[in-house]
Amino acid sequence: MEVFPYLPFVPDKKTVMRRLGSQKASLPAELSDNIDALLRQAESAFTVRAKAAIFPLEHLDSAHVSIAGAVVESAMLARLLEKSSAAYVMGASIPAWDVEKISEAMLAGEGLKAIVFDAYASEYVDGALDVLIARKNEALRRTRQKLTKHRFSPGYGDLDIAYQKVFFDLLDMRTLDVTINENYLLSPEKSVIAIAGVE
Amino acid sequence: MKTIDGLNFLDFLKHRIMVLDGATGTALQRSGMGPGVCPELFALEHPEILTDVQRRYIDAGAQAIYTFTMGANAHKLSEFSLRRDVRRINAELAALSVKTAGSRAFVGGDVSSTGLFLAPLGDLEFEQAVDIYREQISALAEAGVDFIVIETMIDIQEARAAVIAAKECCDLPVVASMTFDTHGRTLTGTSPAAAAMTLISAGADVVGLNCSTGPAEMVPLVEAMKAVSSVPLLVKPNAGMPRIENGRTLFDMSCEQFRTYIKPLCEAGANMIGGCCGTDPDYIRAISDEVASLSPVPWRQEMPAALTSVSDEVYIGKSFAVIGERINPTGKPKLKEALRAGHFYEVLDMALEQKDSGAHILDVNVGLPGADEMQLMKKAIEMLSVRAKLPLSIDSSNPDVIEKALRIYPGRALVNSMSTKTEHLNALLPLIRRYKPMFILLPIGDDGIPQTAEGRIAEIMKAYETISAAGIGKDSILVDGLVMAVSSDPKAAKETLKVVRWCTENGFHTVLGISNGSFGLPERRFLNAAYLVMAMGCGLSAAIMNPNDKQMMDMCCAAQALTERDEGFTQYIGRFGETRAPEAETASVTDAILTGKKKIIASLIDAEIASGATPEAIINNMIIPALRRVGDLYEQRVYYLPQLIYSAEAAQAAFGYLERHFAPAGSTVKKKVVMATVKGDIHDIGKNLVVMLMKNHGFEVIDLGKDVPAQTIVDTAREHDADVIGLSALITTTAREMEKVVRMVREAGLRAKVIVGGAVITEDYARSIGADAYAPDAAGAVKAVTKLLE
Repeated sequence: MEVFPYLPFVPDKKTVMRRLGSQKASLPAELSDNIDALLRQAESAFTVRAKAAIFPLEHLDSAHVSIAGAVVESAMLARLLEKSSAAYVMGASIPAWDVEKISEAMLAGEGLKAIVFDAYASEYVDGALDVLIARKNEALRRTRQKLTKHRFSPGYGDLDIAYQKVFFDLLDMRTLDVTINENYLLSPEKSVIAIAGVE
Repeated sequence: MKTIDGLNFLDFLKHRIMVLDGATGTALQRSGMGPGVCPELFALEHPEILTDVQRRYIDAGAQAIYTFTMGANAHKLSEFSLRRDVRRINAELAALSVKTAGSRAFVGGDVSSTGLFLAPLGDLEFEQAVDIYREQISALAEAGVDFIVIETMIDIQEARAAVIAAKECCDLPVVASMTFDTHGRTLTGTSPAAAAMTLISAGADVVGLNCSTGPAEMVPLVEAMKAVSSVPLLVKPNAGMPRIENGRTLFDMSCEQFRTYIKPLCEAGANMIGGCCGTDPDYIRAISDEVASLSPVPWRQEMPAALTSVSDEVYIGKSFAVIGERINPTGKPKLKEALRAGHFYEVLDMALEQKDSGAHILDVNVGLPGADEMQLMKKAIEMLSVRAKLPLSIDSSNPDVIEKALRIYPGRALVNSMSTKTEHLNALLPLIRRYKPMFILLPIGDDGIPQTAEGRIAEIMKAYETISAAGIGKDSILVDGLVMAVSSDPKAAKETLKVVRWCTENGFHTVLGISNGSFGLPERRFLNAAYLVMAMGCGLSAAIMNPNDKQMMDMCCAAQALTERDEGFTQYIGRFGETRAPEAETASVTDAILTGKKKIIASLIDAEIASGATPEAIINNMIIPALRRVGDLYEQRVYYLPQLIYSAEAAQAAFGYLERHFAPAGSTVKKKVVMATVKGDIHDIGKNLVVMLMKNHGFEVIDLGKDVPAQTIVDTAREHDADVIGLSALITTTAREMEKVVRMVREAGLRAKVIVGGAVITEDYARSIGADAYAPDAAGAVKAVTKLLE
């Protein structure tokens, strides 16, 4: 199991702005400057931690994938992994005390800060998976292996969100202080799990 | 020592541009190396393939080839149960390359990433990484390679570990090359200039970049590195940008296209140039042809006066540098207690607070009687280097602590400080030579502190003779002019300022610990501010001070503008521009809300009141119409979420100001809205935005938060006799909870209308569960609720 207590990288501003629904160029200068300042604050305000591991694929057919003893029903995941020998399962989370800074800003009447922090944190935790993938690809390259171009998360396509629990347990996300509720939502809110294939 | 054309490796770079080899791994793959096999073992089992590839590169003009040992470190070989064969594999592969190269080419012993993250990012300790590299590099060196090349590194700290290992286990030149993405940063966020200075500080004799991108993307990165590098530069681009086609990685740049970038790369400063992924001997022949007519661009004599963090660089002299002094337990019982307990959040809070206040560098002093300063410093550096991301000033009187700190600090640090005492110079100068930090020089000699400027200047000149003889230049030094209390010596400030002026005139950078000067006098802030401004007038480069002191920071900013260190007054205008009056004179309340100018809203309301408008008129004729207009613009996609919220904040400020100062008479009874994210759902940013906008539009909102049980929502609506219940859910499973709430509201006979929204909610779904309305977003929610209640 790979454990990453911190993943230091800065999400691309453009992707944060896209998440906010606008490109920076379309905003007035003063607002744009304020957003820049908030993005700088966000860089210090948030950390992200992660875990990842490779699990062998025990069985794969057109609609099922068996990973580490768990059978997952999903044609889309099966298609993603059809050329893979193993699955790279990743989980990343921004700690609760950092996520709370978003609602604290909102409660303080700082709406702009809240939405910028929220967008930043979402990109940050997603981007953490990109870092893990890039890192893993770097390691796999020398053996002519690589991860699938795309990754998949429970709750998307035909991969029922209930399977979030399967991957949550595989990674033992509790050790990152992440919990999962009866609707299979991860808490803190800015937590993600994803699967890629090792080809 | 091997020579080519009579030149050894480093001399060759002074006179010629060295041609390197191209991709080797892909050539082996084309020769049958399958997926999942250990590449190094494959090469050893098929030595004729490797030899052929390397010979073809030399025939094409390569003057240096790399051993095929990039992944032959303990961690990567252990994946193939070859942990015990590290030395043998490296030695045998190196011997193959040495034999192939003969006297025709230099051989670089190739080392790369372990595949692990170093602490605190991962669980590999820095010294463990050094040990891993030491084992591999010593085997390569013993096998006769001519230089060590550390390449394709994505984490600056791991690259440092490899450089330090190389310098400690052999005398060979060390080349260190990082990989940058298309945004010009390493995977862990380091800029090219910061990477170059950090690696040179760690001991690299050549720095550079390879892989990830093609030559076009690398030209500006080479320029950025060249501007700061006191060593030659290496560049090894891919054959363009990679793309995946039918499961295969292909590169989009032909040999002829690649050729057109050789001259720009060399003109930008490349002293060693070869190819990475996707290149073959034809590309190397093209490089060889192109560089034949080119001369190497010389490199700087010394790195600029600059410090680096794990991500960026801070230059001393270009603008004034503020060194935050707060992380120091002296006189801070809370910090002392936290450090003794091993809690570093207090340190982190101080760091982030100072960063937000405008500090450029953070001084770190964790010296406490009875505590393990070495361990505290290590922890502080690990935490601050990844969290605060500002360059650190290592503040300790213990040379052992300073050495440990310099060894693990993932950048170019500032050492605070080295005195001119013989004993102190002897203890610290070797560390300064080895890790190449900048350092603060205190002109305190063997006879103590000279009282006069002349005495201090004599100390500086004497020490500089020793320092420069050790190969260290003025750009590594910040001279401390020594601020003494004027209360005990009225001439103290004058003498210190003389030292600062002399240093400026003689090419030394300077620093002062300003607040010492006012000790023992009342209203110290005035003396501190005056002292700072006077010193900046004498050319002071940096100050150790409290950046949370707004007055001092304002003075810094203003004095910087007056001493030609703020080009175009951008920093001054950035700091003070927002309080400019003309906007307040010309804008209206409506305009201010439309453009989100909340800082001038109070003065605009005052002006309206003064000209006879009532608070009610301001609300009904200015604020509400402005908000409606903002909503329309948002709906038309002229405005985006940030503008919507920015305007909402301005409106909030307007309402708040009116309520506090004018208490509008005749305020109507507000309609009540109960808002909640339903049970099982923990997402609340969307709901929070609705709450904010609802309040602005005059609704009384009872916000129940997230993960709220249906019964709580019903009970609250009944208790407040709510007009509307607003429900939010992000995902399909929790959206089902909405249906339950609607049913319970109806069964309870409440008069409240129910409106629903959220990422997966549609109008059809809202209708199907019996909701009264649906809103696609926060602005839409306001409109829908307003319509519901008409």
